[in-house]
Amino acid sequence: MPKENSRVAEYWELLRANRIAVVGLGLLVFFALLAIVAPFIVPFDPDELVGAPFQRPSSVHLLGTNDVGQDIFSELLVGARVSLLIGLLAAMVSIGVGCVVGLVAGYFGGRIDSALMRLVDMVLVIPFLPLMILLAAYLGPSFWNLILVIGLLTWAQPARIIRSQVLSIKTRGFVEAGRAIGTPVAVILRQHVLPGVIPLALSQFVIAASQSILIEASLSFLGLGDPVTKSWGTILFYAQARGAFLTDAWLWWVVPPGLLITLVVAGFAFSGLALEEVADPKLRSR
Amino acid sequence: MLGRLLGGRMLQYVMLIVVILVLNFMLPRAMPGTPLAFLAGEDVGLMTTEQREEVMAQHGLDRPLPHQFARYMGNLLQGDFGYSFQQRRPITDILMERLPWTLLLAGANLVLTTIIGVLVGAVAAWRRGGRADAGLLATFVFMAAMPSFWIGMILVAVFAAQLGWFPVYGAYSTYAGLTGWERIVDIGRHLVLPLTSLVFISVSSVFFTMRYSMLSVLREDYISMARAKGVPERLVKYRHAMRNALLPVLTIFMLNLGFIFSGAVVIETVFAYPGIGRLLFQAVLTRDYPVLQATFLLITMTVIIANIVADLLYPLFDPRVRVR
Amino acid sequence: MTAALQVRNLSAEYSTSTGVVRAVHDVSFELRRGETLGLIGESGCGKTTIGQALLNNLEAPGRIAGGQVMLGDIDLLSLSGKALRRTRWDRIAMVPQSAMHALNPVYRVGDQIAEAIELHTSATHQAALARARELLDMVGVDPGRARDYPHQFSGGMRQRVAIAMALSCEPEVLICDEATTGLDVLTEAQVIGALRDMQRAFELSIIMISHDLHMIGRVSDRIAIMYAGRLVEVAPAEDVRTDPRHPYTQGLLSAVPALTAEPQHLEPIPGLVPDLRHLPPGCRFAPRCPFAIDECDHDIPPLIETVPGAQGDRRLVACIRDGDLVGKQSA
Repeated sequence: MPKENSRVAEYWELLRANRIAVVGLGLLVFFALLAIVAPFIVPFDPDELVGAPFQRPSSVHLLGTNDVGQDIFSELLVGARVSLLIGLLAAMVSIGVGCVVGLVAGYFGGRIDSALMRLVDMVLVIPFLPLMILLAAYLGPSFWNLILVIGLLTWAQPARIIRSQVLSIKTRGFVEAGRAIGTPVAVILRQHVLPGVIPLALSQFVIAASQSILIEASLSFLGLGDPVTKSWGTILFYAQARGAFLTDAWLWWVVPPGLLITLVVAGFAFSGLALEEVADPKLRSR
Repeated sequence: MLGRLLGGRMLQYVMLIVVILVLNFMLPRAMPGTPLAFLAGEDVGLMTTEQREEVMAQHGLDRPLPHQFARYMGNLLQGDFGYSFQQRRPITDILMERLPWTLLLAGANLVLTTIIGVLVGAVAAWRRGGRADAGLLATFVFMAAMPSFWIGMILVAVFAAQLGWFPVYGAYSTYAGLTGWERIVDIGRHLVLPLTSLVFISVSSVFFTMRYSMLSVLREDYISMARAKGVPERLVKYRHAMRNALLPVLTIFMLNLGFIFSGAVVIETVFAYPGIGRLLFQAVLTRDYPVLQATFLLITMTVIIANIVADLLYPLFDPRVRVR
Repeated sequence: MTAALQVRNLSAEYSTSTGVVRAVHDVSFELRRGETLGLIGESGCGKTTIGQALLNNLEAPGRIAGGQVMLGDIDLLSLSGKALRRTRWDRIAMVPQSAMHALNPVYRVGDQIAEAIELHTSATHQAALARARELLDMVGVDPGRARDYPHQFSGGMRQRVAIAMALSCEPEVLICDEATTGLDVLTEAQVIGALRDMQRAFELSIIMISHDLHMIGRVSDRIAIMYAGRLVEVAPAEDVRTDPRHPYTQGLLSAVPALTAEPQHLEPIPGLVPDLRHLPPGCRFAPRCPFAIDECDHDIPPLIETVPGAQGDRRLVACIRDGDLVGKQSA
């Protein structure tokens, strides 16, 4: 498969030459490492009450303590795991559904296509957060419910993008020709459709992950997060509930978690933009 | 052609409304156990079986589902959203009290977001590849990456708590008894921070759409033709390119509505702004399920109606979809 | 009598990520008053670039690398800003390849024609609109359709609208870039008919750019043949047809065996148009030329005068073997 290798090499070259990609991937690598090593490097167990509540930052508690005396710095490090994990898993659900719908709609066309696209349009209109809140309120807050609710309500946009990619691949004629001579669907998909779809699906996945992390943060901030595993959104929920932003504590209790969310989401978004550019030559700057 | 097009869209909206209504109807009834806790706010555990059955009958919950659905629809059509057992008053009254505030916040946001996003997006496209373009792109990616509630909290911390320029929460000063102009200024001052946070998170999508759309319009032959005809650069940009580049913005404008309401829920919560979004949050906290459902229904219906309006207005801007 | 348009040493290039591509290289020709000059070549040879360059309207990343486009004693390429905007369209205008794309989809065609008039004269919008209707009428479009939008017209009608727009300021020179490409034969004939009528009515000098030899042969007084960014031959249409001098022209006209009756010359020209980024050092046609000799690879052959045509008209050809081949032919 020398052709595949050269294509991968070309993508890699494009990514390396792209400053946005370097920043985005750099951020992602940093947070991935942080999430992996977090439990081993935290100064305190984030669930233990390790000091007096509402302490200011000190050499012991780098970012002070929260309302019940847990170490905020440790909470933050471990929170990276939760936020990233929920974001990635929800994005997998979202892109999984999106890919299937997009491929089926684009490949088979006709009535199946128009029915699926109607569905996509409908899902896109629904204000997703209120619906998520409704569902989360009924289903109860839990790690997997969050992932399912986010994933199952955000697949429509990727489905639409992947469908249009499939359609443009179809215009190149390989697909029609393959069908005409009776090539099995699986072979046509593998040889002609997927090579064009996978880079795009990857960029959509990265973008979906960034959105999922934001949505998870919002839901957790509204008190609908997983009560057992504390994400950055949950930390901010407590900061808000205890009025931390009305005191000096906003500097160490409010700013850091939000900043981390922003950086991780921006890391995904930059990577997604760069991947999109690689996947879609039209977007490349000349 | 337009008729058929619109017909298809309308059918879609009607289907969506039906789906939402059925979802709303079924959710509490599909939960394990008796739906009483969800629908009547009663503490089921403390009741005897007879009491429970009596209340069930009172709410029609002993009837078959189709009957219940008919009753549910009948109530909705009369504008009756049910009764809040937490607040002990009709939900319709609560909604009507809250709606204007959300409309003010979301409406002002829509206007500001569109103006800022369109203008800045166009400028970025006109300077494609330059320093300004790169800087704006990075800025807007970061803005879109910030959690809305966090921006709200930071704004409150800095401009309300620390500097004291704006009020910390609410939509107006209670008990101040302000009237006329003073009341308007007061409402405006309360609006600044929530509105800023909301604009902050929703402006990016308009910016990105406008930039991309403007870039593709600038490559069109009619732009080159306009220049050849002697149209000055300023008019090429504003008269020839802008009109066309705005069309996709109008389309995402509709999708944005849902996003803006989603943002409003969170922002209203941060600022204790007495709108629909905060009502939804309070209903979650107090497990006031009838209010939760009614609020969701109202938000969804508002978004769908706004979509229908936008669909009807679209032909005014794009002659290609107008009837001959 | 002076020429309507005098093009001297025109060069244009594009900067791409892989380097600078010189799409038009040192092109000189004149357009006589009232004549139709056909400019012909394969796609990618730089025809469209010339068209835009003649209007000094190349869009980035394209740019003019040198030369002059003289309209009387004004060099259009030396103008910019307001002076350029005032001269262009007023004296030299263009009918684009696809009016579908060249007309703004959100404005009425009448307004688009009137816009050009308003920009170049002191006419009010009402007066300009009235003039736009007259112009539409002249090119054979119902003036009532001035209120219609571009998408409401058929392909042929849209080209007529584009012609009306090009004539809005009564220019001396009209450049038609593939103005009939994509139209069916009947419609093409009608559009060309409309152009001819306009040529008479406005005393226009026209440059017809196309890859369609038959159409160019029918409508042109003289023909300029372009290959890989350079002119290889300029001659009266009649002479190109009966006695093409450049081997490339002969290749284009291979249905008319001019040099030899051997059947392989009836085939399409072997080989491909060279990549403009990797041009041969000498004559650009040499790699595909059946008559190429070693010297052809040394220097770029200049476009120079050769034997006069049948009517005694001046003919130019860029081939160092021109003399030899003439001798060969007469032998």
